[in-house]
Amino acid sequence: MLFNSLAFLIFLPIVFILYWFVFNKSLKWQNVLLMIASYYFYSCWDWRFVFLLAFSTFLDFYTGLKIYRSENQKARKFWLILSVGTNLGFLGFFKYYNFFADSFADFVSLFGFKPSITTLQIILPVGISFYTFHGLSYVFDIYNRRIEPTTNWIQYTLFVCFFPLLVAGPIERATHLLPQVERERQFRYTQAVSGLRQILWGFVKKVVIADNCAEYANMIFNNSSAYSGSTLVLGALLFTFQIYGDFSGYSDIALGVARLFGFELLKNFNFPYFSRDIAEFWRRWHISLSSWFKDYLYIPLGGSRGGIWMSIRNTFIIFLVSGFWHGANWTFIVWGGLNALFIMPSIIFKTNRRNLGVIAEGRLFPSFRELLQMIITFSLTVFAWIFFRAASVKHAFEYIGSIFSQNLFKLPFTHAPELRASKICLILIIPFMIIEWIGRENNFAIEKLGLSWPKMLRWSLYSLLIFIIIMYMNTGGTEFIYFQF
Amino acid sequence: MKRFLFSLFLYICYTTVFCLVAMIVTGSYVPRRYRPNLPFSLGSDGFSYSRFKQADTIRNADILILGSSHAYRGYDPRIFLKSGLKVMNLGSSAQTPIQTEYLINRYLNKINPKFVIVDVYPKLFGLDGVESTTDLLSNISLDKEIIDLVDRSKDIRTYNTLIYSWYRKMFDLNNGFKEKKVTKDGNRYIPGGYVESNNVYKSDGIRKPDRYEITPKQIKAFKNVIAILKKRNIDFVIMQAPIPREKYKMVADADKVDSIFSRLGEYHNMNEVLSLPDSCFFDESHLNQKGVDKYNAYVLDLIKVKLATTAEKK
Repeated sequence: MLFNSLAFLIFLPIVFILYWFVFNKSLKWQNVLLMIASYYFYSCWDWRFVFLLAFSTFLDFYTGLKIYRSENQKARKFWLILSVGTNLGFLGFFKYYNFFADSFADFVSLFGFKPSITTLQIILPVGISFYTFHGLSYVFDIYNRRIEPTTNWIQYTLFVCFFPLLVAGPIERATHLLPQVERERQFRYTQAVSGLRQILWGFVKKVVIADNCAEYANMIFNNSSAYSGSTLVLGALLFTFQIYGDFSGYSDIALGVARLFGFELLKNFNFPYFSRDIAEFWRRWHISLSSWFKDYLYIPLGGSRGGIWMSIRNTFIIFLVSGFWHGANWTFIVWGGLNALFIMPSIIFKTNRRNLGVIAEGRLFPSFRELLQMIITFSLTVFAWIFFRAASVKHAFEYIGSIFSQNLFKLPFTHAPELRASKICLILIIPFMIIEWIGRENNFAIEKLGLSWPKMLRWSLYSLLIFIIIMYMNTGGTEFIYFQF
Repeated sequence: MKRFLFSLFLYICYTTVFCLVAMIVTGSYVPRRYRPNLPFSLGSDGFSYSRFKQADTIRNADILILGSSHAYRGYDPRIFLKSGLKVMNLGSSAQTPIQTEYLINRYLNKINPKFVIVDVYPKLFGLDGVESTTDLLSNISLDKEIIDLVDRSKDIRTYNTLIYSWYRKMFDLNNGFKEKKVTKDGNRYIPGGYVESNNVYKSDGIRKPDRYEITPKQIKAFKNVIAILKKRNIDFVIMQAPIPREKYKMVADADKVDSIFSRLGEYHNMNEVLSLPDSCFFDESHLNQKGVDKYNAYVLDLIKVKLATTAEKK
């Protein structure tokens, strides 16, 4: 069930009404309702993987208790390894088996061998990367004695499978979400209204910005050898806005939906394209994943405590692993490596924590220096996205090569009439980014936009956004990109 | 909670009115290319407005033609009239069998033809039919059945076009509209539903492999069309008008499509019968007047025989 589907528009009000009107007297039954609704939501993709989700949930719940109750370190370690090994085993099998098999075959063929390795027709369970990391953070936190395990399996199950975040995050932490599951939730008018606003903005990002950009970005990337250099630049730019609109749009809808049920989820995006350097970009892009890797990989590896070389090594490790997390393709690994390279100067010169605040805070316009920094960071990001989007590393290099060899300074539309309609994307992106810029100091762009206006004017603004969705949503419609991860 | 639900209810009412007004303003003042989900277009290159206006008044034609732009660009009523046959062509842009079924239900009694040519362009059997539905919504009077057609499409573009068309028709805003008889591309409307073009196609030499995908819902609608004709005892023929040779050669599954159509009635794939040069086409899919003259001569012979046989039977 997609957020941007009719089924979800029916599902959500039903669960909302049952939650606040039928089961509102009992926290337990509210949690049971959300758990059942979440499993139903998940089963709409493929009911067979419900069992995998349930097993993974049970495993982490059980091993969490065992780790906590074990008195000696050896036993604690055993249960930790069992949980991590099994979870990563499932993830590795479903997501990476064919990749490893193919890569191994390619590697040994370099030495003249021709291995006969069987690849499998494996369906990737939607959201497996997200709920696996979700569960692992719980087990790690218990092992590191940061939290005590819950003994209530309904509450733990809901922590893992809560439907707004189940298939594409944000990757929650037990320290943040579990207490919310455990305590009674009150309906708060301002929270619910803010949730609706965030859902609305998420839909604008997804169905207006991302889906329209996707149509033309796909056209250009899938047939890149036929287009001019300027068209390929356009393709990379469109993909840049597609992936932002798609993923941050999903996150906004997830956070907004959770608010309707009285939950506050972790913020996942913080206006990343307004970053002044790559380090800042990574503090603003897919925040829940970046912080997961920081807490459970970077810091255990020693972080930056062992001097500059250790810092460099660990940075490369987390970016490569993060790239690999996105998918079983060398393109993602190169994309991760490229970002590690981009961030390296700031690691070496220890300037990576220079831009911690909001750009041009309290001002409408950035300074010239900030603008320049933003443009450079944005350009590096666009360049790296080419690897992320390309079908293979070879395709990415050909794409980049063609940018510089084929009519870079000719207007993209003149040689490709089928792309003329993509002007509508540019027309939509400009006001979208202006609104994002205006709202960059808030949790989401329209969080406070118009709050001081008269009610009719404010309602007109929201109605205008709904009208824009009706008028400009892409009817081709695509799944959320991050579902494949 | 009560406050929230009450505010939400009020807001939904407000936004409904807001969106309706915004849609009317957008449809009235924003150029077609900047409103992708409101593709209302009164009059068009396909002359749907003129065609359906005529169809509303015509009675008792000898031949009814159904199909897409291949139909309205492929059968010249003037040629048939020379043999004393009155033709009404109900072809419309990107018309798929779903719209054909709607049109035949709407017009068959009025036009009461002796014979029907069902032109098929297999490429359209793989479409959702949204383009054609919005063309019809823009150019014909609304009835209950067209609302069903919109509902079947389940597409925001058809819902928006229905709302805007309904508004225009409610306030009679289409009254006084006169469709140009010749477009800037040289397409000319000929009474009887035909669109004449004398442009000549120049191939770019690029040939891409092509496939015809036929969706179950389109073939079901097509079978319904055939069933209606059979039930009414109206003789018919299924024709596939020719396309440029080089383009046809690139179609991988033409045989499969032929076998589907030939099972449903008398079927002629003219790509296999006539070998027309590129000078007989005005673009990579449609005949020009020169091509129509040649093609219609063949069709006319075929129909004369069919009509004679039908007359003998009666």
